[in-house]
This record gives sequence, C-alpha cells and structure tokens, in this order.
Amino acid sequence: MTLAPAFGQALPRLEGVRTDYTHEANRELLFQLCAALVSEELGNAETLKQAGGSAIRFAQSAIADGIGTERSELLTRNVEYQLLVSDVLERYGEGAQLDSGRLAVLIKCGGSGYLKIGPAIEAMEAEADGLGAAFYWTLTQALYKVMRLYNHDDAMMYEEQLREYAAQDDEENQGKYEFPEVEKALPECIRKTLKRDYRAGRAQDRTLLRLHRKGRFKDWIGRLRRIQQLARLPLKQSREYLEESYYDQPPLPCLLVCFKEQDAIVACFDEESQSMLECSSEPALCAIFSPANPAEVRNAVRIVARFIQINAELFSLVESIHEPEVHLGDPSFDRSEPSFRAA
Amino acid sequence: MPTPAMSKEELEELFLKKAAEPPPEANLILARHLQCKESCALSRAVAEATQRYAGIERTLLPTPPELLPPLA
Repeated sequence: MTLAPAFGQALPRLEGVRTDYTHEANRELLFQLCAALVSEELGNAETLKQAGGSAIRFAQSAIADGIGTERSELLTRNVEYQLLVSDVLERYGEGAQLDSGRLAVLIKCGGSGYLKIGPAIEAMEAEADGLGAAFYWTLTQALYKVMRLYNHDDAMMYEEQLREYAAQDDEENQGKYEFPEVEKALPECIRKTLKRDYRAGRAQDRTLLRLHRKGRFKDWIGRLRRIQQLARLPLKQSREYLEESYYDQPPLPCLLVCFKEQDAIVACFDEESQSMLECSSEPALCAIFSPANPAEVRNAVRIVARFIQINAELFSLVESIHEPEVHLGDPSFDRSEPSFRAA
Repeated sequence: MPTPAMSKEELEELFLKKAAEPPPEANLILARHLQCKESCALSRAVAEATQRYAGIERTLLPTPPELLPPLA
C-alpha cells in the first residue's frame, strides 16, 4: 500500500499558533497579590520560572505549594473544596466588584466529608464511661468554631420541621410521613448527655480526655487537642461582607457526622442535601484583604492556613477512625462519586 | 525571565514594579470587551454555536474545490 504524501494546503498548520491567552483585568491587583505571596514566603523565583513567567500560574503554584502535596491529597480524598482568590464577590446572585484595591480569598465546599464516629465512640466508652461522649462533644464544639457540620443537631432540627409540616397537613396525608426518629438512633452515651449542663459537661469532658491522653486512644485525643488549639486562634473572617451578599443559605456542611452507616442522621442528610446545591450558599471561608496592606495579607494567610491545618488534622483523624473498616472493604468509604453526598 | 538566584526582595520588587506599569493595550481591549454586555453576549452566542456544530447538530461544510490536490 502506498500512502499519499501529506497535502500542505488542506489542513492549516498549528505551528506558530498561540495555544493559550492570558488576560488580566485589574492586573495590578494580581501583581500585588504575587508580591504579597512572596513576602509571606509563598513562592520564589523558581516558582515563577516553573510558571513560565505567568503571574496567574505563579500565584496558583505558590498557594498550592503552601498547602503541600500531602495535605492536598488528603483533602481531595475526603472532601471537595475549591479555593479562589478574586476581585469579585457574589452579591444578589451576581458577581459584584469589590471595593477598589481589595481581593477576597474564598473556600467553597462542593461535597462534604464523612465521619462515621459510632465505632470510635463505642470503643472509647468500653475503655472508660463517658470517654466516647467527651470525645464527640469536644470535637463537635471545636469544629463549630470554624466550619459548618451536619450532625445529630441538624438531623433533629429537620425531624422537628417535618413533624411541624405533618401537624399542619390534612388528616388523610398523615400516613405519608415517615419520621427519622433521630434521638432513638443516637448512642446511649450521647443521648444521656444531650441535655446536660453545658459548662459542667465541658469541664467533665476536659478532665476525662486529659486522664486518657496517654492511653490507648492517645493519637485520636492528640489530634483532637490540636484541632481545639487551632480553633481557639482569634482569627476574624470577613463575615460582614457575606451578610450583605444575600446568599440563600449558610455554607454547605464540610463534614457529615453520623454514628452508623445509613442511620437516621444520614437519612436526614440525604433528604436535605438534595436541595443544597439548588441555591447559593455562603463560602466555607471568606477573608477580604488589600494585597498592598501587609497586615491584612498576613491575616488572610493565617485564616486560610488555620482552615487548612484544621481540615488536615480532622481528615487524618477521620481516616484513622475509619481505617479498620476501610481494610475490611466497607463500600460506604468509597468517595469516588462526585455528587454532593457524603455517605 | 528571572533566574532562580533572584532573592525574595528582588522578586517582590519585580512584581511591585509590574503592578505599577500601565496595562498593555491587549489587556485594555479585553477588559473593555469583558465589561461590554453586547460583546459578552456575542461571544457566548459564538461559543454556543461552536458547541452545537461540534455536537449532534453537526453540519459538514463542503470542501472548497481549490483545496483539493491536483489529480495529475
């Protein structure tokens, strides 16, 4: 067989054709951001060389290097986060330019993480009465300070709402309602401590965790302590911008905490999550800063770094708690499905 | 292109110098385009038409005769 020679005129040649275009509106902000990143030890001349001289790619690589490959992979395995630095913030459902010379760093959650904490609580309760509950309440309270969770509290609120709807509905529709019975699905130690005195309960939890910090569960308690320490850092996000922005709902939950596979909490989450992506949600993190102001840049970097560190500690803890079941091939830990569903 | 030996201060200064430079003409044109509603609507329409052409509604265009190789 003889192949015909390539005919030069029939197909246009791609040599010399630009394959990408970069354009920057407000480019001075981008360069100021790059300078600010360098000043915060994020990115260097080597990063710029690898970015081919592109300021956008430099900023992306500098931030990605700051997060680190290991942490980035850990987060990707467990949760869906998107980090953006933008001069536009959503307002009234549309993009709106920020005040002159200001940028927003946002972290949006597109798919929540999943923690089945029941087996861990059970194991800790077997070690000492109240230890599992102390671990659960301390973790919940620490995480509440930095991210939105979906846990027994949200499930109970959903159930309450459902009961209210049912009470207002016609008599003939009553049979159509199925209530999740969240309280009954809670482990005994959690149910017992639901309505305890907050301060006394916290003091009791602290004492128990301190007593067992060098025991069998020292790794989990150690991670919990680091999460607590990070959550206590007084870093103020720019929530006032979000309040003015008329988002339809609070941030999407970064973590679903349930006790058993497919328990009442997961059932409530599955019901509620169906509509979670239908309207606009606040980002999980928002910090507004001026790249020309070193103090504001430092504050924004610290806010993001704290959020990432807490998430890294949290998902290392989650993987450690799930480890025995992952080894047994439990399919509920397969997070390859990208939809907004945790379990 | 900076060399890897460039210090932190020099790199920072390089970015700040670039931030102070006036934007290139191409950027200004693009910025004007992105701020113009009609222009954005037109580019969206072209992009959608391109997608339709590449998708199920693909219509093959006839090859212009002058592009055919000579038979002899």
